[in-house]
Amino acid sequence: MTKARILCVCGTGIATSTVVNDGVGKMCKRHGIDYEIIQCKALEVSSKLETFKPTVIVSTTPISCKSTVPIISGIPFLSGVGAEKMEEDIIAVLKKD
Amino acid sequence: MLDLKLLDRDLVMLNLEANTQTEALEKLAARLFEVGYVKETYAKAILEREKVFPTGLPTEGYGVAIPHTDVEHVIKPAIALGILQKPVKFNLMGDLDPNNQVDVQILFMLAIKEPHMQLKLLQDIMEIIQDSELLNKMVKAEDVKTLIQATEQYVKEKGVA
Repeated sequence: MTKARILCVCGTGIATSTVVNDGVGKMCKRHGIDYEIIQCKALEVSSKLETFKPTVIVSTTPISCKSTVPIISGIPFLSGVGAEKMEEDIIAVLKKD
Repeated sequence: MLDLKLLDRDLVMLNLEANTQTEALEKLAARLFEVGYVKETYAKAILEREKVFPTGLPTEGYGVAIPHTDVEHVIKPAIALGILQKPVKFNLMGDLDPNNQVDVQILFMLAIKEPHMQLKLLQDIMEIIQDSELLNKMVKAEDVKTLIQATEQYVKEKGVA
C-alpha cells in the first residue's frame, strides 16, 4: 500500500479543515495507515489536485471541480452525527488504494 | 482546557435581537470591531463568506452557526458569542441547496489568527455544540456571568476541552 494522501478542505482552509485534518490524522494512526495530509481552501482544490494528487478529499464544503478523487463529507467531525459511517467510508477508500 | 480568555465578557451578547441572519452577523461583527479584535473589513468578509460557505450546524437542541473568515481581517483571536432572542435561518454547512436551512439560535463568531494554535479551541467549540445540556443552559442564562459560569463549570467537569 502506498502512502495515503489526504486533502482536507473548507471554505477558508483554516477553521473547520483544521479540525478535520486532526480527526483524519488520528483515524489513520488508529488504523495503522501511513499518510500525508494537507488542508486548503475550497478555491484551491483544483490546483491541489494537480500538485498534491490526493487519494481522498475530506471536505466540510461542497466541491464543484470535476475529479475522480473520492470526496467525503467531513462534517461529522464537527457535529458528531454520522461519524462512524464517515470513518468507514474514509478507511475503505484509503485501504483500497 | 478551553481558553476562556478568548471568550471575553464584552463579546457575549445575550438576548440579541435580529430578524435575519445578516442582522445577527452584523451585530456580532460590530461588537468584535468595537472591542478591537478585528479590522473594519471583517464584517463584510463574514457576510460574504457565509453566503458562499454557510456555517449552520444542526444539533440535538438549538441550531448553531460558527461564522468565520480569513485571517487578514483579524487583529487578535477571539470568540464572540451571540444568543438570539429568536432563531434566524442559516444555510447548512457543506450544503449548497438553499432549501436546506437550520434555525440558529446560538452563534459562535470566530476571529481566527493562527489556525493550528487554535485547533484545540475549535475542537472545544465542537464539543460544546454537541452537548445539548450546556447549550440549553447557555440559551437560558439570564446574564453573562451565569453563562460564563455554566461554561466554566462544563470545562471543569469534562476536563474538556
